[in-house]
Amino acid sequence: MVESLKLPKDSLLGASIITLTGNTDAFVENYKGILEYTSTVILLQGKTCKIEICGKRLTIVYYTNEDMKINGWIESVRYLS
Amino acid sequence: MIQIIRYIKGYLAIRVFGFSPERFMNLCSHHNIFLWDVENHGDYYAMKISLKGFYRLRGITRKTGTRVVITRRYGLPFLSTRLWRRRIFLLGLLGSLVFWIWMSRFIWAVEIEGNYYVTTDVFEDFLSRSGIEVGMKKDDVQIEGLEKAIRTQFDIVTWTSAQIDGTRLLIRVKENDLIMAEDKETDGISGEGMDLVAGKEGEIVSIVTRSGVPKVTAGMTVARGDILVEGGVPIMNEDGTVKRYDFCVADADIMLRCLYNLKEEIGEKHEEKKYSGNEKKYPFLMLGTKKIKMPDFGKKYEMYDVVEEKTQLRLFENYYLPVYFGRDIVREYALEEKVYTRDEVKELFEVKIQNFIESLQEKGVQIIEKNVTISKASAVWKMNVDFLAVEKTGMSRRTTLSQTEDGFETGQDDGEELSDLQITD
Repeated sequence: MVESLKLPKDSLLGASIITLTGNTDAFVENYKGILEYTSTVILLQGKTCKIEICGKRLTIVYYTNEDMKINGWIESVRYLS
Repeated sequence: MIQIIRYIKGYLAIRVFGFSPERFMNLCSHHNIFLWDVENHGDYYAMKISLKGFYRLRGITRKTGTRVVITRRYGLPFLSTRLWRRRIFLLGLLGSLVFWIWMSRFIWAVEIEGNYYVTTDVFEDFLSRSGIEVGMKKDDVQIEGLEKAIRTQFDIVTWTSAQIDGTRLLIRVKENDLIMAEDKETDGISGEGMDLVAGKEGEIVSIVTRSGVPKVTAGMTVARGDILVEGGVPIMNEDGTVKRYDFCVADADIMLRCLYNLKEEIGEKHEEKKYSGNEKKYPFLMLGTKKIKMPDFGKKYEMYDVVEEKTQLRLFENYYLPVYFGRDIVREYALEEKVYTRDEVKELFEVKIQNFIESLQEKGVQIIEKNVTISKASAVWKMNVDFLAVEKTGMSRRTTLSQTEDGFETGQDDGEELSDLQITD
């Protein structure tokens, strides 16, 4: 139905949006909370799955209910079920 | 922009540690408490939080079992505490501000512009006599009164403007360009006339009378004080006697040929300063009238001139301060005795003659002839100059003629004695 009506998936399915700029900035929307935060791993709880961002010297530039911005040396983004 | 709003509202740098900092962050975001610059430092998290959000943290910390420590405060709400730490500096700042404001209530410089005939020295003397001086309060300067006083004191000044620019009192004057060389004509009081009398001994060259009775003709020799034109016009009876006098102010152009004399002496020997070229410069600082000098080391000159150069300190354009800085230039010289040569003496005398002639010409005297003799007697040069000059003469004086009820009383002048005789006859 979403396909046929061409509605945005994020608002209906609750899918997370991750925008990466190079390998230094990540912008995450639609998530529930932080599960783990160290300087090498940030584990976020999405609505359907968990998102793991690995890297070095990771910091959270800002953090609100809707979105967050991560800064650092990003090496990988993984989805964990 | 966000930075400015954050600064105004105030924010804190905090450290979060304990059981579950991640949960702490999640709860913060759920409660719409904004966090930023979150950094993991191993066993604790450092982050920034708005001041408003910080007050709502109590419940969250209790739930999550974390502890929060403030590491630094930022923003306007904490400014006062930071300022308190720098209170001495602030006190100095405030003190200097008060000092400047207080200082600006005084006059620290007086300047005179536009004066030419009345020298600045004369002006300054007059100002100090009328109570205007450097260091006085601005409120005590009565501008209007000062302007008026200047105009009444100096006749030549036709326009004045005094104004206070910052800490400077600026007086602008305009002088009458035409010097009032002519004597002020005093109007004759009704019933009394004015005579013209000779101001100098000499020979009358020409006389043109406008009003009054001329008593002299061209070619006559007069002494100082002789009546030239009388201010009483006699009205005759039919029998030739004087009925009465009509008084007027005598007015005439009378040219007088007269002599001027100039005598000058110059000693043959004179001392001349010979500068050795050695100079010393002493910088100084002057506060008000107190001069703070550099101590003088080294040997002093036996004979020297001192030239002072100073500059007044000022802020911006017009805030003059009672502080001067400058330097004294001390120049060494030796006195040398010299003897004037004949040519040198001639030159010196010539300058003096020229100055004398100029001063006469300013008064309207024309030089026709000059006779110079220079002689030397017992080591003194003497000069004697006789000038033959033509000048306008005539000074006003109240007439000595007077009318009485029964007749006329007259002065001792010949003409009047004549009329006296006529009456007695």
